[in-house]
Formats: sequence, structure tokens, C-alpha cells
Amino acid sequence: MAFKKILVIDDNDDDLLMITECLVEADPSTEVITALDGEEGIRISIQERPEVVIIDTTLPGIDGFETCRRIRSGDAEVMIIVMTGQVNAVNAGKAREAGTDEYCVKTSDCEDLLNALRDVTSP
Amino acid sequence: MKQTKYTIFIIENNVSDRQFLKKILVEMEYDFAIKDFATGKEAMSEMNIRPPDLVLLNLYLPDQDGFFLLESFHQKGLVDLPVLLVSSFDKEDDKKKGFDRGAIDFINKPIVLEDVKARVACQLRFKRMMDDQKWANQKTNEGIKMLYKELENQNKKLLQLDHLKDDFVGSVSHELRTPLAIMRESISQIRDELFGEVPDQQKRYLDKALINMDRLRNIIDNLLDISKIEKGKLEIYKEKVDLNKLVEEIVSDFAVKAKAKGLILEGAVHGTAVYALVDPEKTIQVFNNLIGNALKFTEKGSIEITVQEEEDFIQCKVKDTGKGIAQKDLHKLFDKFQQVGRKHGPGEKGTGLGLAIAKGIIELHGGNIHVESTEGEGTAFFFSFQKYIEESGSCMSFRSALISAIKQFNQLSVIKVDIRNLKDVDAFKGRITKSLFRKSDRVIIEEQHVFILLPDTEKEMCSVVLSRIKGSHDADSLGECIVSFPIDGLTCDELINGLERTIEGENHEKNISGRR
Repeated sequence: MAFKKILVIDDNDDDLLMITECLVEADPSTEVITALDGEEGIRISIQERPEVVIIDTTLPGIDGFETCRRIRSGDAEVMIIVMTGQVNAVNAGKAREAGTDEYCVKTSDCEDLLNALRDVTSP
Repeated sequence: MKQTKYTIFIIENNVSDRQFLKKILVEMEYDFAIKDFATGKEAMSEMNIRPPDLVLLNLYLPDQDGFFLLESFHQKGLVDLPVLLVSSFDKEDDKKKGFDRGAIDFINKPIVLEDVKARVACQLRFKRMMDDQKWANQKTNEGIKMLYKELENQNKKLLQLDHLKDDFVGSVSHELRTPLAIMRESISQIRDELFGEVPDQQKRYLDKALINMDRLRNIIDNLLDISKIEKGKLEIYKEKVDLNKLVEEIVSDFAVKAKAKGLILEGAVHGTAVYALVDPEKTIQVFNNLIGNALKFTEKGSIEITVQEEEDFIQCKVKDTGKGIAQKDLHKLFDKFQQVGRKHGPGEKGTGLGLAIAKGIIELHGGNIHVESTEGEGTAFFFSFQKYIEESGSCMSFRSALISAIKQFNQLSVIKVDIRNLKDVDAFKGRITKSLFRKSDRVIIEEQHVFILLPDTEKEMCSVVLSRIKGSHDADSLGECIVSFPIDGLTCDELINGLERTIEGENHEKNISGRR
């Protein structure tokens, strides 16, 4: 799962750092770029053209599902993974409706996220 | 958006129909794979490798008939596989037979392009919806499970940290006690002019130091107690105790304070003894904490303490007419470091541990405590203790107290006093209680002897304690001896032997000198 560029959209600084570390550890050649809210994420995804966008569902302003929907409507090819960190906010169905390719939960070892990254590339 | 690519099987022996169906499907703007078969057998062997997502099936095949194939799909467990029948339906009940065997729709021959497009599109949309639903359910379930596991792990880590913190508090408190005790003793001796005259002004400052050292010791003892309670290491030594008498004594201790605040303090005195099987020191602590609290939070009215003998247990009550506790705070009242409704200000400061300790002690005794309170009207604490029943006779023996003290402390001394020749035993006991300042000091009274256990005390200090206890009267009429751990013995037996030897030795010497 070699990706040149991955965009992570999450409003939590600690989580961003944790995810970035996990992604770089999994593949040191990956460039990880980050955004702290949906609007910024959409703008960066247009400018930077990442191969994968990872979106946390709880974001200030427009939420993760809406961010996913807008990125998808502008780009049918980009791979999107929607991610949730809270037990009571897990909703894969809503993420699929918004056009995500994969869905995962946010854990401290990023296990599920790395699984999702593998799945997103497998045929 | 990445989606699984669907595969459609066309099972049709008529070449031109097969080609026509294929052409229609290719022209549809869906991204799916098409595989076509002229016989049922070919289709079945491919089916075993990778089942398709949709089947277009002619009922009349040369090798196996379509009905047979439908049954085979079911037998292979492909219950959800959607099958569209493409047929001329020669017999009237062929459609019914097909649906009975699991087909979901049909296309009449001769084939009409629009029929095929509409029915295939409909089935694929339906299939996509079902798959998405299944995927979402699975992802949601797995996700929730994973996050719960994560929470559990975090919880475990927090609990470990909590234990670490408790251990730390426990050991630090323990280390603080000895130097504090030495400091207190030194200042106390200076203040009592043991080493020369002390001017009044200096005495006042030394008194201030002593009061605050006692406060500090109280805080440290509380921390140590709560840490022991939480680790299940607080030991209690149950004996026969008259709770009525105990309450009477405690009430008299608090009388001055209550009077100063203009409060009526009533203890339960019915003259009759109510015997409980409790650790007297710990029980006093419970009453002290509850009455202390009541005094703190009551501005006018009364504090009433009752001890009621029930059939199986003894019910105690400490009731005040204070400001009361809000309903929303009641549940956290017994949690440690909670100072519910307490205003910070001058006066006594608590540690927020009193009620947690009281609860811990009561529960260690096998009893329970609960609270009833109305804001603005007052608060009542109800708690129970075990009744003393004569047969149970499980009085704390000196031996078991000594064994546990050796385990607990690095150094301790034991004073044994012979009380057989004593005229006023009660007065003597009273003096003992007044002479012992530390909570860890223990007194065990047996028929002929009184044992005083003094943890963290050197042998030399014991004579000071002993002279305080004996007072000026009948100073010579008692046979007493002192042993210290670890210098006189390392085990309980060695120490007890030491005590017996010394007493016998003294008697022997007395006899000899008497004869002279």
C-alpha cells in the first residue's frame, strides 16, 4: 500500500500526530498532509490531489460525512476513508451514503485504519 | 468510489439469444463482468470457482433443465443468488415452478431489449443496496467492538496508574510519620520545660507548632488509613466494647466544642450497656469523623447520637440539624477527597477523607452506612455494627495484636503491667488512654495484665510513657516490664518469653531482697 500523498482531516492535534506517525511508520515514503476542519480539507484535497483522504466524522463546521460527500462529488477517483473515534458515533452506513470507500474506527495503534488502507487498494 | 465489480452469468443454449443478451448487457453503462455458458454443466463448474452476482437462465437447456439448476444453486447454499428466467415458458405452470425454486423475476422470449435492461438494472441496484447494508452493519459492529476494547485497555491503564498513586501516597505517608513523631516529641519536651525554663511567649509559639503538627499528623494518618483501606490492608482488632459507654466518652470529648458553638450535643445514655464486637480505636474514629463533620456543618440546633440494639445488629445514628446535603451530592458523599457543599474559609480544614474512612472502617466490620438528608433541615448518618455474642468470644488477644504489629512496624516496644495488686483499675485504665497520643498505640487488657503496644518507639522512651501512666500514686505497687522489637527478640514468641522472664526475674529478686 504505497501511497505518495495522504491527507488526514481531524480537528484533534494529538490524533493527527498519532495518525501521521502510524502512517509514516507503515511507509516512510508517504507524505502526510493534514487539515483541521472540513472546509480546509476540501480546499487542500483540490490543491494537493492526494491519493487517499482520511476524514474524522466529528469536525467543527461541516462534519466528516458532509466533507466526504463534497470531496467525492468533485473527485470520483480519490480514495476516501471515513473514521470515527467515539463508540456512540460509529455509523458506517451514513459514511457509505456519503461516498466513502472504506470505514474504520480510530484506535491508539491505528490498527483499523491501516487495515482500511490495505482494503482500499485491494481489488 | 471503489465498489466490488459484479459478475453476470448468461446460461443460454440458443446461440443468437445468447449473443443478443450479451450485446444488451455490454451496452448498459454498468461496470460488470459477463460470462456466458451454453450448458448447465459448464455454468455449474464455473459457479463452484466463483459464484456470480446475477444469473440470466433459460429454463430449457439441452443437458440439464433449468429447474434442476435452480435446485442445485440452493443446495450449494447460494440462497441469495438472484436468478432471472429468460424463457418462452412453454408450459403454463413453468413460471410458478421457477419462482417456487427461487427465481426472482422473468423475461419473456422473444427477448425485448428494454425488458432486459430494466430488469437487470433493477436487480443490480437492489443487490448493491443489500451489499452496502451488509457492509455497513459489519463495519459498524466491528468498529464498536474495537472501540470498546480500546476503552477497556485505557481503563486498565488508568487503574494501574491509580494503584501506583495509592502505593505512592501510602509509602510517602508512612515515611513522614517517624520524623514528625520525633519532632513533636522534642518540641513537646522543650515546651514542658524538661530542659529548662521557657518564657510564656515562646510557650505560645511552641503550642502553635504542636497544634499544627497534630493537624499534620492527622492528615498523614488519614491518608495512610484510606490507602490501607483501599488496598484492603487496614487491620481491625475486634473486641467486646460497650458502645453506649464509648459514645458517652466521645460526647464528653466534643462537649466543649459544641458548647462554644451553642449546640446541644446529646449522646445515647440509657444506662444499659450495648455490647458490640468492634475495634474500639477504629470505632472511635468513625464516631469522631461523623460527629466532627456534624459540628462543622451545624450552626444552630442539636447533634444527636443514638445507639440502638436490634435483633441481629447494633444500629447507630448521628443526626444533626445542620445545613443538609443536596440530593445531587449524596451519591458522591463517601468518595474520597469530596468536600460536598463545603465553603472554603477560616476554621478547620478537612482532607475530604473522613467519610470515606468511616465507610471503609464500617464495611471492614461487616456493617454498612447510609445517609439521609434534607437541605436546610439536617443530615442523619445511619450505620451498623456487629453485636457481641458471648459464645463468639473472639476477643482480640495480645498475641495476635503483637504478631500483626511486628508485621506492620520496623520498631516497637511492649509494656506489660501486672494489675493484680492494683486498687483502682478503672482510674489506671483512664490514665493509660490519656497518656497515649498516637493512633497506632494499642492497649490490650487481660485479666491479670495490661499490655501497651507502642509502635515506632525505642525502649528508652517507654519509661517516660510508663511514668506518665503510673502517675504519682501507687507507683511501686505494679510489676511491669518492657521488651522491644527487634532488639529483644525477632518473633512474637521470643518477645512474649522475654516479657515472662523479666517478670519472673523481678519477682525472684524481690523475694530475695525481702528475705534479706
